[in-house]
Amino acid sequence: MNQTTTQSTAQPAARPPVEHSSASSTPPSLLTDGRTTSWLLGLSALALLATVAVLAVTTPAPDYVQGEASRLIYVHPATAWVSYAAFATNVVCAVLWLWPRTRKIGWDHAAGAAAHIGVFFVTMTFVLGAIWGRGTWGTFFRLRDARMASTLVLLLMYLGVVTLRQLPASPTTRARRTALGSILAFLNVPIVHFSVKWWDTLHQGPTLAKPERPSIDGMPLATMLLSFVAFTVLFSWLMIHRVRIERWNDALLGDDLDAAIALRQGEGRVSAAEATA
Amino acid sequence: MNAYAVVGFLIAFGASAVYAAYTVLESRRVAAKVLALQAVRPPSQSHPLLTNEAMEATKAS
Repeated sequence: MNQTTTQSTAQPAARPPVEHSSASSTPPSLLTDGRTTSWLLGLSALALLATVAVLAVTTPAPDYVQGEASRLIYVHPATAWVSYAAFATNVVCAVLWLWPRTRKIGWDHAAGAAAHIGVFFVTMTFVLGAIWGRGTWGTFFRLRDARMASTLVLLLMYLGVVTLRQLPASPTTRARRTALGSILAFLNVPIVHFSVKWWDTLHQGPTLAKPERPSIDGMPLATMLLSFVAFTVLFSWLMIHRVRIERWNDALLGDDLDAAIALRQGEGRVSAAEATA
Repeated sequence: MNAYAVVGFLIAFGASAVYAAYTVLESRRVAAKVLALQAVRPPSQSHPLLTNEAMEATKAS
């Protein structure tokens, strides 16, 4: 007695009320679709990534000077692309939430999901770039390099956005905070992308996104393009699951469950006392 | 292949697999919490997200 009694009589910690009515509004159907879309995308991502893994090992290294380390071009640019796509999704959803005519809590859920996934992929981009850099330039990281420094700042800014979402607040307050944070953080994306053009950096220039022909062709090009498709499909699959997590976490908000259990336990104790009386 | 390429590929594909697994597990954890809440709440107070259809869709995916 004890622990149960203590728990049941304790008041749950004060938290802002959960706005259930708006939490059930429906974001785009693709993001909330259930079984079929999730399975299709999940299996497609698995098959595509497995194919990329095989091709990345068997296709010749695309650069004679950089040697074998240049094989990382089969994964590093694709992860960077997905992080850009995630941050673009994040900022579009943030703006749609801020705009009064399109405001639905579902946009905030999609923005939160995209930020989470974007942080994962930009971290991977950063790590893979450091490994590639060590193999070709002899250093993992150089703070005075524009591409590396701006990517690090991008990672830290979006870590801030994800952290903002964890602070206790009503869904509306949280959505407003993170929408503004997302817009601010997204300003850094073009700086990261164009840093190799605007400044002299250790990082090489664009391989595909340039007016003239791409710098690679044949199987290396095909493998690289396939990796873009594979990681994009993985991103779509992750979005479905993370949006669902955001929606349900919103609907539950931890203390809700604790409070409901405490209430039920209290009812049980009253009934038992009445029965013995 | 040299060590940089090997380590890079292991991180790229390994971390993706770990993050995907973490996401699925978190989804299931939240789903379990939804079920727990559904069990202790009277049906009249149930949230629209707690419908059987929504739960089945999550468990199946």
